[in-house]
Amino acid sequence: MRRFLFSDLTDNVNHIKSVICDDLLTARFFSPPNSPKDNFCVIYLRNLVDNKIVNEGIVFPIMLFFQNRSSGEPLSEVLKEKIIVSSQIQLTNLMDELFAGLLSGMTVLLLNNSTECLLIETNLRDVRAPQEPDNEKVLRGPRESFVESLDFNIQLIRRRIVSTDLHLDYQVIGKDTKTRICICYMQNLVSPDLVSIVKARLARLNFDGILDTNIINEQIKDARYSPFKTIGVTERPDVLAGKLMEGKVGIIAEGTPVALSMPYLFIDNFYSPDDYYLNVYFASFGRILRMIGFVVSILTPALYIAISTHHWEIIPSPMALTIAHSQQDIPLPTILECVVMLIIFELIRETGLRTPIGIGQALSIVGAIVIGQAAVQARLVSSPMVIVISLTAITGLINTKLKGLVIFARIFFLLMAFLLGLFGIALGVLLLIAHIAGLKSFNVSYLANFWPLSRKNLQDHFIRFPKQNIHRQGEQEHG
Amino acid sequence: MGKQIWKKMFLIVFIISIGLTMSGCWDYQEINNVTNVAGIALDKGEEKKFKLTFETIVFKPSADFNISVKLVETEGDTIFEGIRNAVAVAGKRLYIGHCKAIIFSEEIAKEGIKEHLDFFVRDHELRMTLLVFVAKGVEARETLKDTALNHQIASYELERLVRNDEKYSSLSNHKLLFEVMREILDEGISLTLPVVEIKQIEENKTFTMEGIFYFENDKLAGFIEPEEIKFYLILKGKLKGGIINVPLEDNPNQFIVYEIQGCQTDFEFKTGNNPLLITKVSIKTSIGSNPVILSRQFSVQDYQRMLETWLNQELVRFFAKIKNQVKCDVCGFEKRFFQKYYQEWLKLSEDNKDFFEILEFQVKVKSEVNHTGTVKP
Repeated sequence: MRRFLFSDLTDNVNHIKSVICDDLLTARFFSPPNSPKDNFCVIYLRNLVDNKIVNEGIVFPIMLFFQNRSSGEPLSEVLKEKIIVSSQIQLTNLMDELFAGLLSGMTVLLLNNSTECLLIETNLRDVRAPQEPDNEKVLRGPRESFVESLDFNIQLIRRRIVSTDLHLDYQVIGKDTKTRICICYMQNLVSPDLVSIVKARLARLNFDGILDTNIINEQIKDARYSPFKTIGVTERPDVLAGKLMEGKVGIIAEGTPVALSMPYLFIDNFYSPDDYYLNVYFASFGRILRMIGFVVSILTPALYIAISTHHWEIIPSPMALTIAHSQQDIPLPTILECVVMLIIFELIRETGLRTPIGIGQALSIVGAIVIGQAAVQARLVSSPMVIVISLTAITGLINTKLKGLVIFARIFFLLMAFLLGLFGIALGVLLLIAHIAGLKSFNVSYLANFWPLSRKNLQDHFIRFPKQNIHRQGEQEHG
Repeated sequence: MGKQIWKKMFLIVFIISIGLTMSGCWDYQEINNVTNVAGIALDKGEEKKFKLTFETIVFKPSADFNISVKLVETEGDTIFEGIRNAVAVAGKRLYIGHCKAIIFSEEIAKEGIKEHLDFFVRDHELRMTLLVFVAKGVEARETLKDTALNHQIASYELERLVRNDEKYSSLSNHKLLFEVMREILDEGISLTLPVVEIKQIEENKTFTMEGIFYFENDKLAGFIEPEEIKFYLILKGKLKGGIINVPLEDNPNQFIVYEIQGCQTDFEFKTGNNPLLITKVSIKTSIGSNPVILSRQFSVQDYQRMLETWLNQELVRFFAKIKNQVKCDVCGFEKRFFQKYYQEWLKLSEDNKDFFEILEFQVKVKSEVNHTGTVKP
């Protein structure tokens, strides 16, 4: 492929046409009446540009200019400085830049006898209005979410942090997609090491394209095979702004409404934006509930299996009798019953996620009646098992951030309980804690600030202290 | 990187295999593959040494909670043999982890129960908080046969009875398995066990727990009446509830009823020629009833004085009784003594003196009547 532009106009146009196969590629030739040698051409992709800008900002001023042109200044400079009405014009002599600009909605102005062309910003801006985020609902607080346009997302952040300390660092990644991403951080709060680590990891990236930030996430996160998240994900500009104010680094990409933030610690899994918008007591209670929910959702089936198949003696006799009674004449062994029920629940959940909204309700009714009541009445499933599975399922939905982990941890603990009883669960918990403690997120320990249990460390952990007491740079001190 | 993962995998497999092979608790067993035993009754066997009666819990398959009880009877030369023989009868292994009561027959108890208890202590399934009883007047298995009034399961009802007896009536003194073992193995205390009897209530028969048996060298030796259990409990320092009837000084047929709210007993010994035990009882009560309806003839001090005088006299009488008639240290005075005055106790045993025979007794009762039940005390 040719690196620099030809000096001849027709050569350039022919070359462009041979590279870009698109019928909507439009090339318009102009030849000034007084100097026919200085003819030039405007090229753009019709469906990517704003016709209004092309007409009013480029074609019309040029026509007007040629009607009373006199001096012999270089045409490209004159056009760039004086004639064309656009907020952003760029002069280049590289073929690559020309194509990148053309394909991202710029208009190219090619001049005869010149190895430079003008790239004029004429991008068609079609932006979805920010809606309330579906996945991170709050009771109180802002209802805006990010949209697919990077610039608009930056605008949402800038609106919240009006500070010259907010640094935005744009990069283009992806061989084919040439996606613009933006690394943002507060210069006065962030640790410089963190920024350099993030940039180094991004520089290492090598892939064809990114369609969503998750692809970046998977490539730059620590412990790639760990089910734990070490990079935060949010759809909410207020959350990202909050993270930046804590001294974290954010990454926003063109074309996706999901922003990343790092480092991301274990305790972040239990945060909700509501924690900061609601009363301190209520928020702290909610956070503790989420932690309990996490433990309950991964351990309940395992504990039930351990108790009902290994350690009958540790439960009170009436409860043992109830469990024994409900297990009577159930065809499947308890462990199989539990695994089957868990899989059925995941099937229902996944189906509910993939079906149109209208069908969801019918699905839940069928699910509740069929595997709830009918299965128990038919004595295919024992009723404590239904309770255990429902409890697991409900608490599993509390922490959406830990979804993937919870499912696997649950099965893991179930197997441990099946093999070794309560001892197995204890062993499993140890392994899990060892794994969590070994994780790092961008050189910050995943369990940072858990120990020692000092007031300073704990002010935004298990409970949230009133805002004025919270240090701004919580995570950075161990960094 | 790859090496590290292999190392981790190896460690995980290693830990799990160690757990599997060394821990000994990988015994996966469905809870419905065993039969739950609620209580065990031991009688003398006809062909073999023991006749064991298990109160087993039977589930009827239905969505509602529907249980009933079946008595399974087996014989064996040892208790364990009896339990395993029961598989042939019950069809499933008997699981005794949720067993609440063991009832010995009087006959067996008279021959000594030490050796039979070993199995119950040694077996890992049983809880050490098991209740131990001796049946009085009937065969032990009769006490489990259709005796539950409120509940299906007699043994569980027995457990409830024990708990309420301790709180409200103090007609007997229950013993948990580990307490029994302690009393058998410790020196200076004689074993006592609560009694289960059968009583007819209209058409139903049920069990009662009134009075205790005392044992001499682990053989059943005699009976202490339910009326005297409160004194026994006071001297053991274990009285928690119940009522005390104190006869009026001028009319012994009428009683003032004191409801016990708490009782503490402190023991002091004085060593001299003969050891002297000074028991300090401080008892908290309220007035339950008075033969003269809502009379204000007595002040709180009067009530306290009457209770103190009567209790003093009764405790002295009771001590004399256990010293002279029972002749067993059922309250464990000797144990208390040697825990505090070991040298003196050694000297006594060197002189071949029986501690309990030479023990002298004094009691000081201090009572506190918290309220009289009338508006103005």
